[in-house]
Amino acid sequence: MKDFVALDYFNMEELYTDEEKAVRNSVRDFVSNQFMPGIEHHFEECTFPTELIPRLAALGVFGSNLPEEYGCAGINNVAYGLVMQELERGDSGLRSFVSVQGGLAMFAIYSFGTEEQKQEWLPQMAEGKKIGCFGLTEPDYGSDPGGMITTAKKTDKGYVLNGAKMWITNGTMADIAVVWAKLDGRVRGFLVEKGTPGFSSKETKGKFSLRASDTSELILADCEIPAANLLPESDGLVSPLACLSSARYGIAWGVLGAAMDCYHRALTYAKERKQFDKPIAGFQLVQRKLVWMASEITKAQLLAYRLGRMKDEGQAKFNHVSMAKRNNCAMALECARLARDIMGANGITSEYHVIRHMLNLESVKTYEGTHDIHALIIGQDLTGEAAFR
Amino acid sequence: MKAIVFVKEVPETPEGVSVSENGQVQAAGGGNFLTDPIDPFAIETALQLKDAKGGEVHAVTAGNSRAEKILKEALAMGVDNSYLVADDAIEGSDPNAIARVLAGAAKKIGDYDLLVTGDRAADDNASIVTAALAQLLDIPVLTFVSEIREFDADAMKIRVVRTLENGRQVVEATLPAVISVVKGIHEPRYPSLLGIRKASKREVPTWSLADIGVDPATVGAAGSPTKIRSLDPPPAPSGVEMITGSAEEMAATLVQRIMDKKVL
Repeated sequence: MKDFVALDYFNMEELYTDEEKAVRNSVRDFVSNQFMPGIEHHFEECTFPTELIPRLAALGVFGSNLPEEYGCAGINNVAYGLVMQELERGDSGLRSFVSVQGGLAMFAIYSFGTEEQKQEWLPQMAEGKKIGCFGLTEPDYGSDPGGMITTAKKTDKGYVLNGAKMWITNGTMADIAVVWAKLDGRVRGFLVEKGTPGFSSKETKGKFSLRASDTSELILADCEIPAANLLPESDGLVSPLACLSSARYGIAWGVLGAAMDCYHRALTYAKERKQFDKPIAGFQLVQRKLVWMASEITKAQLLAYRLGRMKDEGQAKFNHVSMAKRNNCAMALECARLARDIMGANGITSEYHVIRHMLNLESVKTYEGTHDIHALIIGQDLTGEAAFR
Repeated sequence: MKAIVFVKEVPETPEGVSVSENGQVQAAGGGNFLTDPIDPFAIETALQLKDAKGGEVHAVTAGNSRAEKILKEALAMGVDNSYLVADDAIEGSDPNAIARVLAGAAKKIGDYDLLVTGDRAADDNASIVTAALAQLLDIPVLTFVSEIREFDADAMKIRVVRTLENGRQVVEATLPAVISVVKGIHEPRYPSLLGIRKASKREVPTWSLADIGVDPATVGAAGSPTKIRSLDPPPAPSGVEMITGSAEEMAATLVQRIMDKKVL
């Protein structure tokens, strides 16, 4: 396979600063050289390449848009988006690992923690010495997280947590879990350290998607944590939703990488594969598929770029993030399906990579707010009517 | 330990290289320019010495303001300072004249223990600058270095492994010295995101020939006796041979090919 060539049909390159391009190029090289050689093996074996964690930390991708004072890179949101794009060009599982570490767990501590909590956890998480996860979704409460039944009760020493969390990325490998639970009926955030009595995790088996990613269930059975482990600034469902908005922003960029990889591979294949004595790229039906992919990727690139600039200017709202996440995930999944289609039977094998992206993107379209729920969020913003209440 | 690494920007593709009217390698117009792929190995070599021994690492290039980009990449990798020598008089310099400019920059930085280059540039493949630098500065040169076995700035001694076509040599020299490194001496580190952000905010000092004490008459077209007559791209990799015939015939042919290539 030829080296990755990024689709840039509308010369996005002119819109990025030298710093943003340098960030992207460094992560792009890392993913090509360090991650890609092992991804087929890890996807097949259902394992995450933990050996890369120190190297990802040295690169500076964990919480990279958080401030330098906490050991983070402090890059802007467009550069952060390009990091996500390049990671997910490798695999959605890689981007998910980094998103959950930075966009969810570190972001929650940064936004709702005390200064002591930030100083204790953020530098270690930026260095990859501590891995974080984020426990919001429950077995019976996915799109409706406000209905959660996990509870926190105040005790003399701190809080006792009871409940279960599902579909938790990094759940088994995490050293620190940000767990959301109702305290006196109000959603609050708590830090639960690995090894705390009453806290356990169980890896989710049988996945056909995000196989190179740790997905787990968290179980909290009379799990007592110190009072200092409450995230004091968290208050209500709006707090975890702010974290989700941060992570969804990364997804809107990340899936671009998966789509661009599928397009690159499909285009390369179509030019090389001959049927009826000519490359299949010369057939109208194949060209139509490639043109759809190129057009939709270009539109999605512009959407992500504009969202990033708005975020840096403080103008981006959660409904803007919803539109970008919803549009770009659906676009990327369709690109993966079309790429698989162009590749015929070859497209179903791991060697050609696009079906791995396709399987991953089924999850990415669903997690962090399903395609339909994001439609309702945007719908509410447009009409003033909440369709989910 | 004080090291200076000389870096160079090269056209992104071989098609981007041409010969100028005055017989020097130049970039064809319009193409992108990148850090020479060998340079990160040279930078990594110096940074690893700094990691082990302490000290400082500087990066230098000669060119125009566009080359500031590759100096910022060097800063992002972790060098302490980058310097650009930019002067209209440098235009049209041959490798000897470029070495004269770089030697002037090395003298201006001063007190160096080690000068590091790549073994050959991706655009002209000449491997001249390293040796010319040593001659101009009157210090030892060790080319094609694949390993630094010993480096002792206090004892002014370096011992390296040179990888040559017909084998390996272990050689020693006194410091200061110039070395050229081959790909694979180390795995270059990736510029970190924090390093990139900090580098983008750094000013890269720009020196003229006057700043580094180099006479303009000794560089550029006037100071470049070497003229390149023509330049051809490297030959394309040889094609794939499809072996045909019965299974026995194909096996016999394959064995013959392997023996012919002296693979076994």
